[in-house]
Amino acid sequence: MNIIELRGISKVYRTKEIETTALENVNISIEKGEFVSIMGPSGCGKSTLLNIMGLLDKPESGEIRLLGTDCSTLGDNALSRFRNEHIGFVFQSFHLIPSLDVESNIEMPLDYRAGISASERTKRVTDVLERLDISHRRRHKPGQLSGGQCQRVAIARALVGRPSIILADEPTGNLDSRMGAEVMELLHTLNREDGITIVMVTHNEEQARQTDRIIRFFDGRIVS
Amino acid sequence: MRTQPLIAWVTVIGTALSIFLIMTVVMIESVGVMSFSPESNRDRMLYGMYVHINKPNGSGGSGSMSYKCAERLYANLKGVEAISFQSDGAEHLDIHGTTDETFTASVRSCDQGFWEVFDHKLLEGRLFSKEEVEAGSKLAVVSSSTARRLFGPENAIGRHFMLDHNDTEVIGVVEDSSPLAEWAYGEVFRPIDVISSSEWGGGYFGNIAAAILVEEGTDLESVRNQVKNRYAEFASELKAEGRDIIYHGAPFTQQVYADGIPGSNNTPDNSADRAINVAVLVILLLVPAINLSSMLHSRLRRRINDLGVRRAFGCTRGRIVRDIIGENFIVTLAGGLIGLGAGVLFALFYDGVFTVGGESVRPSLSMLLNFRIIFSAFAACFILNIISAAIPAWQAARMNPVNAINAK
Amino acid sequence: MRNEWRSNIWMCIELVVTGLILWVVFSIFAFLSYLHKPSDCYDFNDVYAGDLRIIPKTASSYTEYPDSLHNENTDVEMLLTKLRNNQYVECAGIGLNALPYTFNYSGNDFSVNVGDSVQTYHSANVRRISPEMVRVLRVRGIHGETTEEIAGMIADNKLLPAQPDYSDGSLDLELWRGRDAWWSYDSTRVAHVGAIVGPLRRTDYEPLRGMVLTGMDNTPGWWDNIAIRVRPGKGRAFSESIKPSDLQFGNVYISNLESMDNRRERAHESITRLIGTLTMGASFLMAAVFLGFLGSFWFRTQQRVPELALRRANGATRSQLFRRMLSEGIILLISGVIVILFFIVMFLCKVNLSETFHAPIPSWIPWAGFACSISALALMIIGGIWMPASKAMKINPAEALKEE
Repeated sequence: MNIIELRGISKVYRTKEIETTALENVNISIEKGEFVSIMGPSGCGKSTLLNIMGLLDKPESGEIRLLGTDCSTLGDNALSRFRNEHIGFVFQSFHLIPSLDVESNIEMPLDYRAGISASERTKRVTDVLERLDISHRRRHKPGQLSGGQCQRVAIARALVGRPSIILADEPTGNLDSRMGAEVMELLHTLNREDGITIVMVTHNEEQARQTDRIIRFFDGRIVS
Repeated sequence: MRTQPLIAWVTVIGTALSIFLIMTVVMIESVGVMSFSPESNRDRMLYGMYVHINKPNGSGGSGSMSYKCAERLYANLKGVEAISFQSDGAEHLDIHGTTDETFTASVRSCDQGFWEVFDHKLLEGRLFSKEEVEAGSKLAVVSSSTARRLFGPENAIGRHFMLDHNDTEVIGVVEDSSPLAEWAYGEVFRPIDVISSSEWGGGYFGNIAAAILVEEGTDLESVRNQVKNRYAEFASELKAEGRDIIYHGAPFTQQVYADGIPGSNNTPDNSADRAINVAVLVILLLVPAINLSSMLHSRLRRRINDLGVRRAFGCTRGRIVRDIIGENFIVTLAGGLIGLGAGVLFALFYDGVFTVGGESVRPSLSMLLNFRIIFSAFAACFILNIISAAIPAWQAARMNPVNAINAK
Repeated sequence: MRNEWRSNIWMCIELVVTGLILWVVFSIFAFLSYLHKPSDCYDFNDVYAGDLRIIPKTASSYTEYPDSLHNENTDVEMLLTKLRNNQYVECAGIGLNALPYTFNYSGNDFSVNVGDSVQTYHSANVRRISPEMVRVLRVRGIHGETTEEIAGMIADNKLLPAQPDYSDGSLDLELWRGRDAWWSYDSTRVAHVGAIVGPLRRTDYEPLRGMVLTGMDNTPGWWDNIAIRVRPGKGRAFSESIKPSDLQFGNVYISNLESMDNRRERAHESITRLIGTLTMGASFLMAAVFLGFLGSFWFRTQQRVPELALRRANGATRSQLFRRMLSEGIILLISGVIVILFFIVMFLCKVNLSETFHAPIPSWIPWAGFACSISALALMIIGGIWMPASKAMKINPAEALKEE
């Protein structure tokens, strides 16, 4: 079954003078459990595609089906709920909330989910903290962590809601190669052991080759 | 918030200032209408003051009523629990007791109904009766501090003092009351001389006012309508004498009285004062709200990535708005509590907030800490919070999450 | 600055609202200070005053007079003698409506023929004063007539008018000096105009329309006030030495004896309260502007640390950056001022101040209020921006850019 299905997606950015086509008639199908990387030069529309896939942005035209649901027709609140339940995000620059400690950062997605008891929350947070080996940092603020640790926290945050899909936008882009390798290892583990579908935008050819499939992008179109 | 102590302080102080001034305005308003002993039933009070009678040649006059006229208009109304015919305000007269001091006291002349309408607390002795009022007896009830000033620490009951150069016996001592109870306050209470109280203008004018306590459950309007009908009857009688009585809406409720009676020959209309009051409150709310709003706006701009990430992880727009307004409310409330505290202290210890007849009066703490005032403080905080946070919160929630996440 | 347009518009609105209210407040203050004229040519220091009252005939403590030689006036004389015997008293006298800070408006019309068939009129508050009271109040004439000369004129029952602060224009009291004035246009009630005296006001903020001093009537009971001059600095000793029996003789007694300073304070109470209320309101608004600018510019400088650092790196001096921040506030102020000015001019075109408020308001008053209002706003803005701006000046460009 295709967990992600994009049909005829187009996206145009307009300012007063210029129209920029970011995506043009993009069709992508990703199966459940796949680890897919998206590659292409800067500004080719990779991130736009990822945002549309993550329901953060709306396409000009086309249809998005995630887990069999037609998401093109959902309203803003339904989209929020869908993201909360099924999608985890990992960003290049982590985007942790600086005023919250590690634990609260990880717990944040659960704030927006109804019907989770306090004990369940604590358990889930403890679980991911342990699994990602950052328990000893739970009371630290993001400012006190290294880049690799930050990205682990960000992955923990993406994981805590038990999503089916993780969308990672250049997750190793701000890390040195050793830390980058660690993070990649982590993503692969999640993909293998939990069966989470991962879509990753990357510039790193080597990392891309380790994934199941590479989608190459140029000027808003898939080239291979 | 924690990362911005200066801004937190600026916000709290700005809110506190605003709430402080709003509280001062509300307190001044509230003290005029809320009930406190001895005016414990202000919501059931009606006040009959003044008549306005014209003569055909265009001359005429207006002023306080004679006893005869007050009785004609206000005695034996249906639905009335008690009525007091009393002097139209306290007189300031010299009194002199056994201590070697002559001093000026607020002297209230009233009939026995006064003690039923107002609940002065009797500490010693007794109050005067209907018979004593009608006999024009030279006796008085005094407040406890006046009793001490007149006679020192000794028991005052049965002792004599000079009241306006008349030898007068003390028959009762009541607890001191606040001059803010404008109808009930006095330091010395004496029976009103209903027989020889001064009259002029054809016997219709004098120095009497009526304080009416309406029965519980009776509509004040029904009592006012009875008076209105009496005015109409009175008018047709006076026509025979070639006079005309003009109805100005008496008797007045506590609210109308507190807003101010514009002289004896005008119908109270306080819409202009009301409008000014409302304008003052709006400005007191709006100016700080603009500040708070602009600060919150800036604060949210710094947190815009946070908000974007939260949106990505499933936070709805409504939740963003609620969270921001809720967060802001905590700060507003902190400022509000400081402002309320400052307002109460100011009212208690600064002369000139409350005035009666040009003299400043200090209220008691129990008057200020009543439900109405505290509720208004919270309401003001809430409104201030909503108007200052609504626009920034809405703007923040409306942001496209992608732009929010990538915003610098 | 352009990025902050929304916040700037709000701050501008705040400036306009605040500026307009401050304009009203400062205009009232300007008008009050313009009105504030204490009664000159008098001396109220060390003066005590009281109300003079008579026990009513119906009262139990009233004493009948034994013969027609005795009446309330003889009681007053005895009362005054008693007071003058007090070691701290310099002199004491009575008057009818003769004291300042009392709200009595009884008056009369006076007319004088100043030339061939030219009659001038003057409507004036009549204050009757005894020669002793002249000495207590140390009344002087505006042309240097001494207290004793004035007391002499009062003893001769001359009419002593005061030059009004403003009148209908035609009246020149100088022409009245030495001529005969008619009371109520009545040619049989004539009084000689002696000197011109200073105005005796009901409050120090009252623009005087007309007032005359004249002697007492001898009718028993035609007085209402007593004034006592105590020896310099002996006010306290005097009031402590007074016993209740000193304040009464026969059927006449003194009530509410207090210093003239007290009376002045009470007469000014409502104005004092108005000033207090307005000061509070104005301070609140100014504080709001100060806090608003402090808060907003604090954020703005933080927001723009990289930009400022870049400018520093490119050679901008600290004071240039400081001035740059400050000038943003000033530009906001100027745009606010333009709107405020628009409203004020609109208002002044529509409303005639003197007519609307029934008071002689000179046309410079609103502009004085405007100047004060703008200065206050400017001060608050500069004060509010100062701290954030000086913080921004201290940015270390290297560090700031590295952080970025």
